Amino acid sequence: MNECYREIGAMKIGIGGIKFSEELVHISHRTVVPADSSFADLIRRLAEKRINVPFVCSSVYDDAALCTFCIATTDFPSLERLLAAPSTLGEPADALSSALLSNPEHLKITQRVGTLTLFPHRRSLALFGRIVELFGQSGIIIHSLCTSISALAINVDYHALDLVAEVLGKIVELPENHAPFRPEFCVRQIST
Amino acid sequence: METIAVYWEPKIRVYGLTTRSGLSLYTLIFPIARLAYWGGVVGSLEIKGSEFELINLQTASATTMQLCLLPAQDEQAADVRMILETGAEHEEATCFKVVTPVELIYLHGPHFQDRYGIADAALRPLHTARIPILSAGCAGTSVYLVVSENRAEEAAACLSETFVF
Repeated sequence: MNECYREIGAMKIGIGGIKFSEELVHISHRTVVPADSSFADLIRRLAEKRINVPFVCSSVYDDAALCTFCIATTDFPSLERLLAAPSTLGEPADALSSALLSNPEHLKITQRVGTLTLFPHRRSLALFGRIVELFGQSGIIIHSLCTSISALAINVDYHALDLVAEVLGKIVELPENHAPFRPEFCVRQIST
Repeated sequence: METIAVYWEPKIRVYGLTTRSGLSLYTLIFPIARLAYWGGVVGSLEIKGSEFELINLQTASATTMQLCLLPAQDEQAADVRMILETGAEHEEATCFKVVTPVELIYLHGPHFQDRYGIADAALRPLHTARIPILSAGCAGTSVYLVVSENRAEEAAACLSETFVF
């Protein structure tokens, strides 16, 4: 590893803040591209049921697409019902749900996940790299991670959010007296 | 206490849509046990002056992770490729792939994270138009979509069905 990077590694990186999400359910889904439309179908059906999807990421390797998304824990019963219900497109009653649920390799559901959002990332590969390196060394499980225009959203175990923020303190410097923001109220869109 | 506010828009209004071309998309699949190693490798790219447009990292299986890196267009593309490729060659059970050139579309909107249907509005038009999405990231108030060369303009036109730029 580059010595210069090691020297940077000794310094803390200043950030603006950390935010925690509400409790989420984390769903990973595998498809074969481009023939398999089950992920797009699933996202469409979540929208039809007015289920918010605050996190999505995907990537493709050869013919396999790996897609991850999160929904609020309070919406999970709706997702379960949706997977068991007929599609609105008139497909066989549970073709999609059977395809997804019968093969654990295609759909992995992880309960009790929380998103730790750190901002701003300033498009810094050093910040990303040091966080991933630190989590790897500390045994912190990253379920998934994705960047937005200014933030780094990391999905970890919900019960570990405080611990993860504490561990991050080894490499990031927060404004004085900053404590991670927690959602104090829930915004829910109830109609179009 | 519950407060209900009413707001209606026929299409999802966003602050703007931006495209970038001539980028390279790097994908790595590696053992979870090597997470710290790859964090160090990717972090060291900053020394080369590289920045990123998009990164996502997912658990690919019980033992592997899949990292997708889209660096910003820069003069260090050859160095980035060489460092990642060399790292992958020396690691066991590690796969590495570059897709180049690719194009990026991104848009930002108000309160995406609180509203249902945003992901569907972003993914469905491209799926319907059979434009493969090589990588995507929807978090916070942003939607990022990576498509093949010469597909961004078409993808942006498709997105105008569901978004007002």
